Amino acid sequence: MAGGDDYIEGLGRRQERWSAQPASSVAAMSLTAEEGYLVSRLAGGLQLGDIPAASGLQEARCFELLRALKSKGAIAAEAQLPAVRSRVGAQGVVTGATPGAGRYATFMFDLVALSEDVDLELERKKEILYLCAQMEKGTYYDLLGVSVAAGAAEVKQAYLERSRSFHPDRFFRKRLGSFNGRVQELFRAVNEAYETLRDDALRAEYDQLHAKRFNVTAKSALDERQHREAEDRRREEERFARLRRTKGFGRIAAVRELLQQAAAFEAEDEIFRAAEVLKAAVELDPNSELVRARLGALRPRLDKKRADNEVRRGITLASGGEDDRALQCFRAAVEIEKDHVRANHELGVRLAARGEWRAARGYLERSAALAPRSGKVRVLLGECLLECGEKPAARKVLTEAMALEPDSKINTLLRRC
Amino acid sequence: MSEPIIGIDLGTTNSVVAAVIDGVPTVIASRGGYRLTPSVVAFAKNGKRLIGALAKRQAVTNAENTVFAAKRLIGRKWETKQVQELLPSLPYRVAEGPHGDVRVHLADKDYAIPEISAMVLSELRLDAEAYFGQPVGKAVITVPAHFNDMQRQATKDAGRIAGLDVLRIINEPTSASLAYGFGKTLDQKVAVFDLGGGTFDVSILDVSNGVFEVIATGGDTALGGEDFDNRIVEWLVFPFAKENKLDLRKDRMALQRLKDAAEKSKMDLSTALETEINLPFIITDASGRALHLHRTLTRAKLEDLTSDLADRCIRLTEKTLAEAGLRKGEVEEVVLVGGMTRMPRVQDGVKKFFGKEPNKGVHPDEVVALGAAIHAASLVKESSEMLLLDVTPHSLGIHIVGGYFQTVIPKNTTVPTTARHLFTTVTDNQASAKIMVLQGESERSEVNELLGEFMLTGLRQAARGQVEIEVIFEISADGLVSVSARDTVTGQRQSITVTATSGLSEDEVKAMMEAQGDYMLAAKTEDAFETVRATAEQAIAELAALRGQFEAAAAGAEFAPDALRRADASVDSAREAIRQKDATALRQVMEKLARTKALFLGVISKQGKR
Repeated sequence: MAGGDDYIEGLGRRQERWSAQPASSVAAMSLTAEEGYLVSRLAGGLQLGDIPAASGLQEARCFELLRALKSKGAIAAEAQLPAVRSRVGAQGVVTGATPGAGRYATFMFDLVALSEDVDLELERKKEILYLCAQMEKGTYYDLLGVSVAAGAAEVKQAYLERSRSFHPDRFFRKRLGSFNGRVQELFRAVNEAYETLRDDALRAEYDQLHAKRFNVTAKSALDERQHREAEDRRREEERFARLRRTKGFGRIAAVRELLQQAAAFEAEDEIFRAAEVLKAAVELDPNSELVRARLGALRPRLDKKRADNEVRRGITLASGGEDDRALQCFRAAVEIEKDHVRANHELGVRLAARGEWRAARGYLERSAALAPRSGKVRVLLGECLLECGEKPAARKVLTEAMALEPDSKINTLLRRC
Repeated sequence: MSEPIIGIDLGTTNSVVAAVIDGVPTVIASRGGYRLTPSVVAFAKNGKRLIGALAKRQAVTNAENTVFAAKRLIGRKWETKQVQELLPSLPYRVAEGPHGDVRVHLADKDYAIPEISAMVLSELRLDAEAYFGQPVGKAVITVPAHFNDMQRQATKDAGRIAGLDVLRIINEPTSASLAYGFGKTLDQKVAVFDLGGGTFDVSILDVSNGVFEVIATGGDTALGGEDFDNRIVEWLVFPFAKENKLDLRKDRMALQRLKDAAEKSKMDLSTALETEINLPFIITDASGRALHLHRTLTRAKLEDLTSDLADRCIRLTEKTLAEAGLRKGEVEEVVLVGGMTRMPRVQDGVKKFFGKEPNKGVHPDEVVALGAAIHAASLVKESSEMLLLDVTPHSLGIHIVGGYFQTVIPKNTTVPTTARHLFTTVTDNQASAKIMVLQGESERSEVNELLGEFMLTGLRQAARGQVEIEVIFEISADGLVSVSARDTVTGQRQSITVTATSGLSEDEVKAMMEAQGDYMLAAKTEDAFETVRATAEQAIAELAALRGQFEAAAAGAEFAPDALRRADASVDSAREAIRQKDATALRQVMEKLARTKALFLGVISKQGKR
């Protein structure tokens, strides 16, 4: 069968499956953009004859690129099934070292699982079995296939690559036998690993807890990363310290610290303390627009909170029968925040109940304006206006109330208008 | 072409079906030619079942037997606040079902909500079959991201009742993002803002090289276009009540007309600044005088009536963004989904919040179904470049002593996932333990949604705290929950299907599947018969018209009496077949009728020549 359409010069037969070397080793090679793209297509393995169609490249160009990649060692033909079977050892265990697949080194595969009749190719089974072992014995780094020194972007890429391979969607309605449980567990573990490694604090904690499980290379990688991170931190601090020493910048640095403090207080909803810190910052640097803006942005929340506190006190006092002091609190709240809904309402209702109609009027009017859909407030306001002798205004308000919530009391009041 | 697989957006007001055809995601129009099928089911006065546009059109005259917005009830328990609040605004009759679920009373029969949804799904399936000219049995169906386990399970049941193999239930905003990202190479953070007919969802995604990773999702399953409509209805009804002392909502037909008018005016105001609402003869008062309703609604007034709803959407978006751990500026694209996002006030709110113009490149009504079709195609494809990493929208956990909720799987965890949790006994020699599985965010159990409960019996006799029970929670890629528990020492195991308390039992689903299958078969036979009957009746009428001419033309001929007798016999047997509704017999007689007609015409034309 050699020669003819079936054979491709310099590569082999069309039926043979080819796949890329692990991403970590390919990353170190110098590849053109086109070559890199082709390698990415080959990550899961493809039959040689299918590669042009799968990559969308012209056949001649595609094979040319493949030959180049082969010579660089970025891709290799996968071992055929019979070749692996012949390597079965006496204990029913196969060693993973097959030609073109050095990635499993001396890992011992479970032969029973490898020969299970399921909808998975041999390479795929090996990958799953290998990673399941990493899940049990190895670290999160082994599971994701990244170095302990890997940065955040690299961890994320590795996670996406693993999810692409092991998300249950990839095995949708396939016959998986014992691999079903393995794949599910693997995907869960990959997620767990990523959740930990993506978060700096969790990752540091993990590193500390598992340091003794790291091998020599991992340990040195960890040292390297920690060193790098420490170096980054040191540089940042140094830069800041230099800034602080520069004439006139010391104040700026102090202001910056205060701003950070304020933000922390704000995050904890400690508005009052945040405001205090910001005020201190204004004194240090009266010209800073940033500080003023932050303080300005805080003011409405501050007022709201103070007004709320007053109202809360007022309600407690009122329920204890201390009506006069309660009214004082409500008045204070309205003074802080003119449009405080509850405070206006409480004042209006309470003053009206005492028969102090003239005093109640302003609060009731504002209360009605703040609650455009409330009929009850309007009824009370109508009554109030009547008591103040403003019949036309009362009639108008009562008509409005009627439209919102028809009530028999309104009719009685309207008759008095 | 291999078997087509469809994606279905089963919406509150409208549903859409789509498929990937020759690599292009395409919306499949209904047999009536519409791209949106109203999610409306009706039983006409003659007992006929109407679905979609036909059902919606007759809603005003048949309000009691027309079901709208079944999605707002699906998978919900009767006694919940959401259902109880909805009841006064429903023109159709509902009652509590045998599992504490909701049933709709239509034409003397009670239907479970999944059955109603199944009718809509069947209709979409028929549309797809008509389009492809072959049976369609597999589908991906979308649900709001915020749907809980029961609502998802009920939706899946609806698909099964409609005879569909539901490959996957996916979340609407996620689905929309798939359609948005389809065919593009993206590497960005995307926010999907989905305000539909009945639900609001917002999801924050990290799209990177074909992987769509949901970072956080939030929303409200009871906030949507219908709420906006109801505000307009209230605005129409209250002054009318004041003036005429009549509550229009008490009259089912008037309520239906009000709802229609409200929806229409709301849509008009997305482009116009004011619109007329004119409903003549809306009701007759006690004295028999017909009353009319005529008012002008401005866009400003509508925005005033609904500003709190729009604001709520923004607040939920803010919360979800915080859960995703992102700042507004980090979101590179905002995708608007759902018909309600056409409202200028909603668009402005989103624009102001994110500080950027939302993406206008996707069709807000169709994008969800397209995404479902894309996902369906990628599931069955051998090697797909696309992958969806979705999350669970609610925390899952169990009830523990003191009425507290113990989270086992926190919200926004990537699914599918499993989690194990150890619990210990609280009394000496405790023989059994009751495990209550809940979904929600409150630390108090009673506030969260109870998915199911089960007893673990026959525990070892030991001092309290000595027996450890391991509870294993699983959330599938569909977002469906299953739970099992076991004693870690004895290994005794028990598992539950957590839907048992409120959903339908397996037997019920099977019975409903059969009933729906029977109905579809009967409807098909009926359709086939109707077609034959129409042609047969036409043929009979033609023969009757020709008979006189033939008699005159063939007068005296030897064969005439015999031919006439045979013609009459054929007509009689055709009439008999029609009476018996026997399509096969009728088709056979049709041949005889055709031959007789040919004979008649031949003799008549010969006579004419002579």
